[in-house]
Amino acid sequence: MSTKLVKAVGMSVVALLACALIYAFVINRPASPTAGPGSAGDRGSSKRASRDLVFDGVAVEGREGGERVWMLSALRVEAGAGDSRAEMYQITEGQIYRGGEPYLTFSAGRGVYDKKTGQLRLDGGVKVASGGRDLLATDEVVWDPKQSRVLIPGKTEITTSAGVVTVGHLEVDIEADKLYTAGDVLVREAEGRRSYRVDGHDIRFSSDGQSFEARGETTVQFELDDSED
Amino acid sequence: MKRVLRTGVILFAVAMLAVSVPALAKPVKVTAYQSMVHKGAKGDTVIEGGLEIEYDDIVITADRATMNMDAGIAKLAGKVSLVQKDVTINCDSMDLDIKKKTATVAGSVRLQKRETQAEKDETGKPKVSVITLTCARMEIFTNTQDFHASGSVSMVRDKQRARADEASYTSSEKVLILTGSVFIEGENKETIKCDRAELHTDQTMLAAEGAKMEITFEIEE
Repeated sequence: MSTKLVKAVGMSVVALLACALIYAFVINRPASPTAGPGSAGDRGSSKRASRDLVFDGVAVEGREGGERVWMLSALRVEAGAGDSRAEMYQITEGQIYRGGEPYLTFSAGRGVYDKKTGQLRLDGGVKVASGGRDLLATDEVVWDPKQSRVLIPGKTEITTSAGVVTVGHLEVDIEADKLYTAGDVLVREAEGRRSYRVDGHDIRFSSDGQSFEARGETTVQFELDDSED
Repeated sequence: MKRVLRTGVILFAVAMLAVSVPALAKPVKVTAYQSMVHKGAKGDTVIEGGLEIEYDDIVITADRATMNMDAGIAKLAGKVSLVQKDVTINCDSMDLDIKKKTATVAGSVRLQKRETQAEKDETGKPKVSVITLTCARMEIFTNTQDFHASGSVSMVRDKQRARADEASYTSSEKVLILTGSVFIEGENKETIKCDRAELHTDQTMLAAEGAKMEITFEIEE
């Protein structure tokens, strides 16, 4: 083999290696391992740099009229001096209080507290539990302490001991201890038993999701085995 | 030996087919107009302020009901009405069993049935009569449209009237059997008193029987 050919092949290999390194570490650089969950795209380094205060592994508490209304533990909290919002990432344990006592517990990928409105917005795989057992799973939850209501704008699955209830949207009235919904509701009872659909304008579930009251025109549709017991 | 084996294989195939055929699911639709309260998974659903239950070819309406979706049963009350094909039943209360295909009704029971008659009208078309039956209680078999009525049973068809203690209707035969203190009045005011009578609801045919029978009719002089 000629020395020229060896040189040419060697140069090509070096050039290819250089291209690969540039692609891997400059163009397609991986996200920082310290970035918050589900938000790497949103929170680039420039946004992070805009925050004045960054805390790792903290507990945050929200108060209304001097009383604790929520509390949460997050892996990371970011707050800006001129910003009325605080963003919290990887919320491992949160609590919503009623009358000074924990009422609902939750976990979420992210939480945004807006000081102006007093609202706490949770997103990124929100799971809410009540009385130590899973209550619901959804994508987004807005907790408004002033109205004492938890608003869930999207599809939600309420888990009860009797089965699973799927609703298009949900409102939890903390004071009344009721879950409000409307539209098409699917109830699937546990152990592969019956399922039925409820469609109405005003459907109120009990806090355990097992019983409901409906007002106004409401339709229930279900199927029965066409065989005598 | 071969025959026994063949029979066994056929029996096995039939058994497997029977097992593999899934149970038919009957869709049921319940509409509440004012209020519905569902009490837990195994609990009852209480409906007030008007409701409608639809399944198969049946539509039932009432003022209020307590229903158990698991069992497929309901207790309805207040202006209860059941409509199935050419039959309409009005009453005060109803015990409905959707799975067993029965409905037991009580209180001012009134059944109306449109029946095509064997007799034809002037244009050659079959006549249609409306049979109205009233009683205190009635058990209805919704799969056959048969029924058993009791308690001051009274029936009217065109100009024919009948009274009895009990009445049983077989839809496939279009025969109404009246029993107990039967009194029938015909179109021409003729009357029959007997223990048992068979009335054909699609024709003017009547069979009466009993230990003591009394027939009254007028003869033109």
